[in-house]
Amino acid sequence: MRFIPPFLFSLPLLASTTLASDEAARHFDTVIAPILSRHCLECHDSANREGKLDLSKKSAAFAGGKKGSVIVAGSAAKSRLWESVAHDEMPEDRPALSAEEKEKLRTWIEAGAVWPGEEVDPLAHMRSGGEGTILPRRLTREEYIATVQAATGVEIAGDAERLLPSEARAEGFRNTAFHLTVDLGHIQAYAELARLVAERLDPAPFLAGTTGVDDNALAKIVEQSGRRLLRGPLDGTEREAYLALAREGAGPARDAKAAARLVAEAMLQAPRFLYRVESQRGDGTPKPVAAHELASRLSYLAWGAPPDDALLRVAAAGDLSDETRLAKEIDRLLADPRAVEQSLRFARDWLDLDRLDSIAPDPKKFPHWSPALAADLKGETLAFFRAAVWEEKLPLARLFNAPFTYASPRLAAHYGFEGAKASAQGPAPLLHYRFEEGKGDRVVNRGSLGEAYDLGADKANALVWKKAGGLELKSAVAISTTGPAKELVAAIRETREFTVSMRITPANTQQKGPARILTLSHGTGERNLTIGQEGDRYEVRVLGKGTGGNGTIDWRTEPKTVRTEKVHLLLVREASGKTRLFIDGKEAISRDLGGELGDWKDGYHLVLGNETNGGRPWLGSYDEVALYDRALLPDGLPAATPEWERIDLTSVPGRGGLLTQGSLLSVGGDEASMVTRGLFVLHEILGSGVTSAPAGTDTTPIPPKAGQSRRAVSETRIAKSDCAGCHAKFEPLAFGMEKFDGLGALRERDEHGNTQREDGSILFPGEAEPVTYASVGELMDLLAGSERVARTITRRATQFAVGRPLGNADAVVLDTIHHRATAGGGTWPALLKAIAMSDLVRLTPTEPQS
Amino acid sequence: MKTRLLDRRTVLRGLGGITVGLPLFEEMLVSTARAATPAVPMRSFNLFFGLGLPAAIQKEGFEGVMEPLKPLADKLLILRGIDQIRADQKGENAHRDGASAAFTAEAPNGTDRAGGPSLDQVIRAAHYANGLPAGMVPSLVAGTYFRRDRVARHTHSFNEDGTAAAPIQERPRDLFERVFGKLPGSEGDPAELRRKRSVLDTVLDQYHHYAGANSPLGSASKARLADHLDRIREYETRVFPAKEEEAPLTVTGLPTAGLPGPPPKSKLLHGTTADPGGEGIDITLTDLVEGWHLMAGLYALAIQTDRVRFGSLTFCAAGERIRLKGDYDYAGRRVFQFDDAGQRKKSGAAGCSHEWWHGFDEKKTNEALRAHAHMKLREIAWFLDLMDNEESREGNGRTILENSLFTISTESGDGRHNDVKRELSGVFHAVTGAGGRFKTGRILDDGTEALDLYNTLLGAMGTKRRLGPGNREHRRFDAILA
Repeated sequence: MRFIPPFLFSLPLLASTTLASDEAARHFDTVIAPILSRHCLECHDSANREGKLDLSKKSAAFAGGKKGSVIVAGSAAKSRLWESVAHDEMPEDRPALSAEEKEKLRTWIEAGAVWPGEEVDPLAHMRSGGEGTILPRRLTREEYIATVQAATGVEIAGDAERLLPSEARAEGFRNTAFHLTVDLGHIQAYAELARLVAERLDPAPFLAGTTGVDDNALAKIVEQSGRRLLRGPLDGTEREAYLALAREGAGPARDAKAAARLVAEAMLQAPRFLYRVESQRGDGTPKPVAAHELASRLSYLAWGAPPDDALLRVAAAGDLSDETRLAKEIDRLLADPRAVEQSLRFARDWLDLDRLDSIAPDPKKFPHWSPALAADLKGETLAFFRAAVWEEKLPLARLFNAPFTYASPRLAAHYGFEGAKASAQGPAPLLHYRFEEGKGDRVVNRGSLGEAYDLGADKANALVWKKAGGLELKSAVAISTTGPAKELVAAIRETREFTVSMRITPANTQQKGPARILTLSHGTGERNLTIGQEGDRYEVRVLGKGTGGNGTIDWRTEPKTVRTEKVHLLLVREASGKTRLFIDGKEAISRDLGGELGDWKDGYHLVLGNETNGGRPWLGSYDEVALYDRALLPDGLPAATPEWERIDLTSVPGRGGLLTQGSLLSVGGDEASMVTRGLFVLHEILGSGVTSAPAGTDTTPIPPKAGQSRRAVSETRIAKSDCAGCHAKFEPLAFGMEKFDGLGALRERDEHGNTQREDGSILFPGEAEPVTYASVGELMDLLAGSERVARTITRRATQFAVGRPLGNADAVVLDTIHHRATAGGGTWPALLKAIAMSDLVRLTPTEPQS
Repeated sequence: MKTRLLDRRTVLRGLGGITVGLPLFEEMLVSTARAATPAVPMRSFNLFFGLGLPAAIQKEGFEGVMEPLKPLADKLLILRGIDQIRADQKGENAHRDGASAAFTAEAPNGTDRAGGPSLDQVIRAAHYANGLPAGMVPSLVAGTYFRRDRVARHTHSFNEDGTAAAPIQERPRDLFERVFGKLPGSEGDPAELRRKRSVLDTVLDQYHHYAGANSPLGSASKARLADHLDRIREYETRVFPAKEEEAPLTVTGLPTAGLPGPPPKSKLLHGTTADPGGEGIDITLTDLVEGWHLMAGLYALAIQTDRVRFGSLTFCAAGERIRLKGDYDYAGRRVFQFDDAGQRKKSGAAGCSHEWWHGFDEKKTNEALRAHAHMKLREIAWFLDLMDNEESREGNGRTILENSLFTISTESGDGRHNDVKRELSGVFHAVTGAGGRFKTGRILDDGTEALDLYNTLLGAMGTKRRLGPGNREHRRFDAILA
């Protein structure tokens, strides 16, 4: 028997030698698994099995290694695992276990070495927290917008996106509760947004049918407001506080509507609106979530929005505690269109698609690169996800090999899809003035409506042409069409969309009126559309639903927006009514004008530089003006992407599934790094990781060259015994993607002329032997059929649903969720339902009142 | 009778050559009716610069890359050989582990939280348990940085639970607004003000309830809503002028008249465009330094005007990826011509200055790395100098630099991600005297653990809280104590 230092016997037992099975499972997941993961699995996992010992799996661990059994349940003294650790013989050439870790291991063995489940998560040592820490979930900006809309009917997206800071990803998702703090900017924004919403809402629904303003009536207003805005019943203190406010709001004028608005303004800033406040007091053990709180959990999980009246009624009736009723409600929520948008938010965060908004490939290597292509790459993956999940209703793992995708003409050309439309130009403008004439009083229209829309000045010799092109207005002059713009208005009426693009330079920041830069109107009281300048702000007037004949009066940008330098203004109206002004590509103001165009008149002339009857002159320069009957975003991408088409990839070799899409392939950067791509697959798709590189290794990337492809570089690296341990686990995951360049285009040879391959092998985490594949299609099939992949998706979706990283203590419930989701078909609705029905959603941890 | 703490100044020079006109704020004056000498507030700031100084070149002292710190040598305690090995997290890389360990001495907790609180926050909690004076920014986190896929790359001020003490300000205008911003409301019509007041009072009541003793929330949730409440109070002081008699000894609210406009628009990339998927950005030395001066100058002003007493300031993120270009001069001589992409003959990530650190070899001259490190310390020194000039002289005759605790550090001691004993050991640190608590004017090579260094700092700064595991025997780093 080996000598064991006496102090190890004298350390007190940390736990009773008898552990109840649930407690035993939790103990293993939270205490023992992290120790094994941190100290043992680097050498004793399924792939390495040094000494033929695999400690990553229960059956293998108890079977032992080359020297026989290493764990004898109930006797640490007889367990080689304990002995070698106690003497610091293991881990070999690595830091020893601490005294505390050793004692935990010893206690576990003595208590029977209970090992629930089968595998140890190799990242268990990196997962902590998740259990015990209860944080309130502040509404994200998207949730705030949805909640305001649902509760008040007010569309606040434009203002909220302007005022509220956006959330950054934390632990991979934007809704991670610990990261949703507030700073002064949030408070200012909430106050201003509350004021705007209160101003714009229709108070009728908040009046609860009351007609008076006595205390009874006001109390009903308060109750109704609380129900709508605070997602549950009010308590006595709240009623009193808001009633006092309602009295003040009603004021001497006894105005019930004013009272309702004031109460709404306060409630919109209250903790119960901005946070999903839940009761967390108890005896320290988990308790069922209160009915209205559960209703909120379910709706925000499924929709990212508050519960609707139907869900609140079911909650109020106490029916959510009934499993069958609960399941029925969840099905109803998941059948709602809002569930689709919520699933896309998950995809966007999980796959970090917003990264595409800012990648900057080297233009020398990628001459066809443009921000519009980045938007297409993102759009492809989102459209694919939507179709795969909601139309095809595929199990989520099939996201990796579903044989179709979506592509715009630009994307199809980038991928080289045969037969796809190659045009990447976008729609042609109806009007296009380039101001290249150089002389005279006429401006030629080069757009599709032709010379009928040439413009003429109302004063002879008043146009000042610039030598380098462009037209300068130094005095009041109106440049207009000779006749009414009937065809223009007809085209816009048909699509209910338009885009006005202008490159101009204002002469000063004082001119007002607003001074007409472009107008489709008649005089100062009637218009379809005007873009003008009001001092240091731009003003937009668009005729729409409910605006009156003069359009959206006083709709202006922020002060100091106008500068006396070249600027690109883009006014875009989408068919939905969303109308935005972009300044140099950035959204400045936004408003929802309703889907109907309103009473646009076809008798107005189009005029630049002044109103039709004078009196509103604008001074400055024009370099280009274009007008479309389509909604185009700043990069020229159509807002509603009507030209996207579904592409059947069954006969397209090398394509099919997420990892063959440019959005994910671009994670490797310009160089299509095997290391980066492989690590991405290992982390995000296979839910695993690797440890640091061994000592003394030069980690400087080795570039490919003629005769040495990227794969060859990788294989050389893997062949080194120092590197193989880790690199063999992830670099081959990228071999199948070698043919895709840094932006996902296919090539048979790289830039050095090296032939690209697509075969390889994949070692699934937890497996002893790799599985070979002959093509990227086979690789994708392997991923789609992998239980490991399915579990990783379960984990990621659950994290997204509960708003926190999952810890070791969540292992058991996660297992249950995964089994239920799989039994339900492995689809997104099945997974979300499994999460919603689990203890993670239906129970809440508690804290005793201290 | 009031005593002036700071001289009147109408122009603040040194912000990269850009002048910002500022009136003297009446609230820079502290009433000394009761005190013989003005109290110097407790302050603690963490200054971080990215990519580190390899331990080997630290040894050259002020004759090498540390040359820019030489003018301030008497006011700094340089600590070489500080060990952050305990922060090594298997499976993570040194940039993130080291970045998180700076000022916390703990490995990160997940990808976006530190493993524990940072020095400044521990000191703040100890000395201002009931909150800072009204109108003050509780913690100011700011920086000039680009890489941002993990919070700890750029943020270096953390709460007890490892979350960021405040969102980071990366645009000078945002920093200006955060600290000095005027809010609409105080000049509005009386009826509108009354309405706003009523709404705010009702809202405040709700937060008091949820952050208070009878709250149905757990302790972590209550703390989160208490933070929200503090921000509302801050908002309140900016919208509604405070009464003078309520805060006789402290900075009271913000001036609403006479404030200049915001600083010039930043020329740097910000937001996600500043970090295109880890591939790095091209930037000139002029733009980088100008942007930093704008940011650091405003941060200094925030301290000088006693708007902030705790927080962190970052120059270049941990693991920063930039391809720098430009001529670097110092003390009248050309130190180096930066041209990372050209000198490395690579584009994208491989062409970034980060890679000089990966290729560090003690046997070579490492000229580019040394120039980058020298430049970083020059910029840190630029900020420290603002804290030590006449405009930073306080009522006790010493400067803010001398009176406060500034802790300067970085993410690693070496550049190679392959040997834990190299990359997280020998991490450069420097501290100021903190009102005579710590020795200055010397360089110490001790090999002490950062945890012991930080706990010694905390003890001397009057806190009882200690970082690290509760059952660990802490070793006091006596050599630093005055």
